[in-house]
Amino acid sequence: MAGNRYIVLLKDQHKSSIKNVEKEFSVSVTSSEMLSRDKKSFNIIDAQNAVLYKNLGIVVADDMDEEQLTISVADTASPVIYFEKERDFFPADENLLIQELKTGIDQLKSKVLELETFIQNKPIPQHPVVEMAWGLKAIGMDATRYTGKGVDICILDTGLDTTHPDYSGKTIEGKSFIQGEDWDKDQNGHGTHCAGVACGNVRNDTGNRYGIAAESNLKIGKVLSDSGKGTTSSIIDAIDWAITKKFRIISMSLASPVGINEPPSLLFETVGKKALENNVLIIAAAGNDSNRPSLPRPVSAPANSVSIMAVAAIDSQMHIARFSNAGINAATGGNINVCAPGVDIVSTYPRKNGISNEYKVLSGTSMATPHVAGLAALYMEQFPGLNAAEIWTLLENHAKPIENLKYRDIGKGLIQTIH
Amino acid sequence: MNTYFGVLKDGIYFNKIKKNLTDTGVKILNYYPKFRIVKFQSEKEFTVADFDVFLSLEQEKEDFFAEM
Repeated sequence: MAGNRYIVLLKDQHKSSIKNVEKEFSVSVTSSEMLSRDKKSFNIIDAQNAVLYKNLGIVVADDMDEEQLTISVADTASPVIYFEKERDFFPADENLLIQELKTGIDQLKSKVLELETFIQNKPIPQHPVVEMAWGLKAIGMDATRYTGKGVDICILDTGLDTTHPDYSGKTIEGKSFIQGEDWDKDQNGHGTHCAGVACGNVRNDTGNRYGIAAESNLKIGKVLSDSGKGTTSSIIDAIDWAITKKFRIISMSLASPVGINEPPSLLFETVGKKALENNVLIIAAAGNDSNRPSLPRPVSAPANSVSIMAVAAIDSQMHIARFSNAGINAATGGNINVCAPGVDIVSTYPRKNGISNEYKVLSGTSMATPHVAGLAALYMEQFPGLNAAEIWTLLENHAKPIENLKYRDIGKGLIQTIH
Repeated sequence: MNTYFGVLKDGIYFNKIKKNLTDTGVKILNYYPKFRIVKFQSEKEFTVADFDVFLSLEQEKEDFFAEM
């Protein structure tokens, strides 16, 4: 349609009246009786051609001379008695839709204005004033304000060097389950390293941050001897102690290898289940028996129990660690639940043999496990109403898959802070 | 000497089976009420089939290692 279309009402349809219309408006009028499937009105009507609808007594044409139409209506000699421009009609709900869209646009304008005001006036973000270890950045520690304040994390390991400057002045509770060895000494170093990742803060030399839940309450259970070896008894006794003490998180960077298709221990399954019922989350290392790219070894005990969270290790390139075990025995349980940084991890270390360095870089699923324990403490501070099982679910649900890595190797993915 | 951990079956109470266990010649070392686990020692080799009160029976393992 070129422009406006006009509906013109005639007082009669005599041949002379039609001719008058044709003459007055310089159009050729076709009767609607001539219309057919091949000759439709919309193909005919334009500024030079009109259609007369016989049953209605109206003529329809495009771009008619409106001034002439007004004169014709006033002229009683003219067959034209009324005219109007064609109108657009919408169903009632379409009109409503348009009205809603108009309202929506107004609301959107208001929201855009609100956002603009917020952006212009927002406070300076709390960027970390210290550098932090790659593992902390990888789990989003630079974007959280939580510190695990008040949450009890129990590290079951080789003990803790309580003379380390980073632990001085802290109230640390502990117990040894290894005969003749104290919990507050760590001849091995492994326990001091793991404790630092979960509950440490910043290095006293460079100021770089290496620990996650800096304001959590550190609890130590010595279940591994100074040579780094432990028994079922020491571990069960320590878990029993930790549950009695109502510690919220137990971190176990220890493992006993299992064979292909070996079912998980019902003993540890029972212990893990009871811990969850008592609102205690047990997190354990998946084990370091693999030598990739060869087929990885299955998740070790006790992490292979479904009631104990199994942690795999990745490196800073987001590759699975060469040594990290995998969910090979999936049919009987023994899946990986999540992964965490576990290669080239810096943390506290006892001063030994005259070496004055108080920090050391270590690798293992042992180092990945306290990352999860520390983050669990942050979640517990952030969501104080959630129980241990719900924190487990949250850890899994907020973990991010890593491109090209399999569920078998990293479970739900790399753990992340929530902000 | 072997050390075992037995997980009690549902409906079995430690106080009621303690004497029977001792009578079989085992030495009870500990009972963990939270877990319903009995720790005992014996010269004999046992499997879970030797007892009708345990859901599972596992021998003490001494190969838990720090994973680094």
